[in-house]
Amino acid sequence: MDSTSLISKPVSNALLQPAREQGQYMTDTQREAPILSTYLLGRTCDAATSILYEQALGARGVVMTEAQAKLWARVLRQPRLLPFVDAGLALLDRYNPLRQRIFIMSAVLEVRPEFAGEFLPRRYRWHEIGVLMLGGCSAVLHSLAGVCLVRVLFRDSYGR
Amino acid sequence: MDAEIIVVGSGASAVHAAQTLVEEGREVLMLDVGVAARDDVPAPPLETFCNLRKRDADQHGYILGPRFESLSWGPTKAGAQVTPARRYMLARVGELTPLRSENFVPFESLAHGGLGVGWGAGSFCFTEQELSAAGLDPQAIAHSYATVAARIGVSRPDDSLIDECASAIGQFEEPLRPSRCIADLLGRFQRRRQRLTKRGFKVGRTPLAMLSRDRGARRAHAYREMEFYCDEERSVYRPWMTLDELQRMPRFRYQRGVLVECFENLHDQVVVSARSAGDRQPLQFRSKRLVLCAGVLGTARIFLRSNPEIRELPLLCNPYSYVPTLAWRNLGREVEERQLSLAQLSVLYDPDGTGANVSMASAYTYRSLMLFRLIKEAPLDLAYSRRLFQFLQSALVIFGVHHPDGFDGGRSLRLANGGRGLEVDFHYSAAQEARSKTRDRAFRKLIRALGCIPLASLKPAAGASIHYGGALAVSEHQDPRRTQQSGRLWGAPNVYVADGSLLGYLPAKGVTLTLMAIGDRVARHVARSLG
Repeated sequence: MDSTSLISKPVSNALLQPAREQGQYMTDTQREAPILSTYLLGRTCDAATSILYEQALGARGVVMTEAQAKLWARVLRQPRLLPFVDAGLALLDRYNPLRQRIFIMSAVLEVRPEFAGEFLPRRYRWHEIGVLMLGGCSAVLHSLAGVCLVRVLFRDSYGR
Repeated sequence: MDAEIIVVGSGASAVHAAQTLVEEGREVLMLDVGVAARDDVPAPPLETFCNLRKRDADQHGYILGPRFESLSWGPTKAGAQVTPARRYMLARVGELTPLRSENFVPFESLAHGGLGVGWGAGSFCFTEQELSAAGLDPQAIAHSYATVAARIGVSRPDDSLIDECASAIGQFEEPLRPSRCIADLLGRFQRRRQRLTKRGFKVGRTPLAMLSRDRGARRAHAYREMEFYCDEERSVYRPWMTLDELQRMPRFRYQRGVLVECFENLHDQVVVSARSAGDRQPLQFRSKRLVLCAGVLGTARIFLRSNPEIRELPLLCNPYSYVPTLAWRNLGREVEERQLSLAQLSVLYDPDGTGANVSMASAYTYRSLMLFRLIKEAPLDLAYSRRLFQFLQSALVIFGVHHPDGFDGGRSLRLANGGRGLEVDFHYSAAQEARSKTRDRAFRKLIRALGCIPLASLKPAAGASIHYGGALAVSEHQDPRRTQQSGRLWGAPNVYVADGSLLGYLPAKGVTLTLMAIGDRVARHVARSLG
């Protein structure tokens, strides 16, 4: 899965249109978009969003080492690892290309109208704030577990 | 003779100098690289930011950019907030006017309209003390403030700030309507006014170059929160708008694609040597007078190339930091559909009460800059960061803090790369660093008193303030590296300088309105010199 081979082209609606209508002929990169969308927002995304993600990756030229590419492939096969790897890398190597891919997906989702509600400010009820606080505790736990996991999976780079 | 007067540059000071000269009946040729606005960034439909976000399937074009250029990865650098539609303002700078420095990261522009393309529209007059410290004649510049403010339209600041920020402006637009979050901060200041004023603070709504009523082709501001993405209906003033008007006038010519390199001052004329910005072919122009408005660094380049015996020039730049804060009472509250992205609140800090050494902070809300710029900075997984910042953003207020700068510490700019580029060495003195630190602490205390929690105090590299000055400061002594009150170079009587280079002291307030006033004032002298 080498994103550098993708040609960077300006996004055009004409290009998105067939995907919007048919949702077929997905590349590997397009297939990872719904996994990341589910991780980030708890909802899958449509084919147009996947294509936008693929174009953004190509345009930004995200390059992974062989080890990173292997880990990424494993994470995509087992998406439950995603929060741990993401959180662990956030502490160990915040600007890692793996996190860059998740970041790009997050930005792509933010500019899709169907997901705008997940990013724009809104009114929060008390119980929602409570849930958010609990989420914070869980995020800290993810980080701690993630650091250990990344050290094991990325022994050469981050292992002690 | 190619023109009676040549004006170099098309930024805030250049267009007002040119306008005054044309109004005085003079013939003007403006030479400018003039990088044009990109035509590949789609213009957003005329809608509020929130509605566009919820409805426009093509918003990625103007938010992320046709080549996703907004998705920069790595630690946030100065300029990361520049949106795709404004990026042309920084284009070709590295290629045509390279700058080498280990401790100075400035913003320069070769765009049509100069750095004014991304101006935050804060329109401040300097006080008499500040103007005197800068070496300018306060009485003379007061008239020019009123002239340029009448041209561009400036919203009325709160009464508490009029004396310090807008005393020379005769006519105002209506005051801006602050967002609820900012109105809360203003309310808290009013309740603690006596105590905070005693500590040297004044807080009020910012004077902004935006219209509250329609005027010609410009429309009243509609609070759609799209100021970072487009110049919709020309509500917020930009120098290119004056340039557009000038181009319709018979005595004005605009020659784009010209990079001015140096001048030669002859007895009754100036010879201007330049290169085509495209094929780099040499070009030459002749005029009776030359007005340099290429920005402090651009003007310094031209001056140093024209005077090889002068090796280096001084430089001023405001110390700058920014403080992201949480106005926690607004957490989890809905945000109004219509609000402003520009600075809505200004804080002046004058601890010694003299009016001569004032620091200033401006407060911005965050929403229209998008969450993706924030979430990568948190040491948390991105899924939770998104949820967290969605919750926090209604309360997020960013304070940009500027301190004044005088000739202190080690600063110099000189030619490099065989005369093609500049090399800058820039250090604040230890005393100045200490003073900025003390004042930053005082600002953080005030921020707390206004009901905000400072989250960090971030100090970008020197140069990030985008306010520069002092390279060819006004002086009464006949020094070839200095200028007269009229803007005329002591060493070149047919050459005038009309930008921030004239300022021998750089107040903390936004400098753009003063640059326009300098343009107007110097232009009057130039016109008079021609009889």
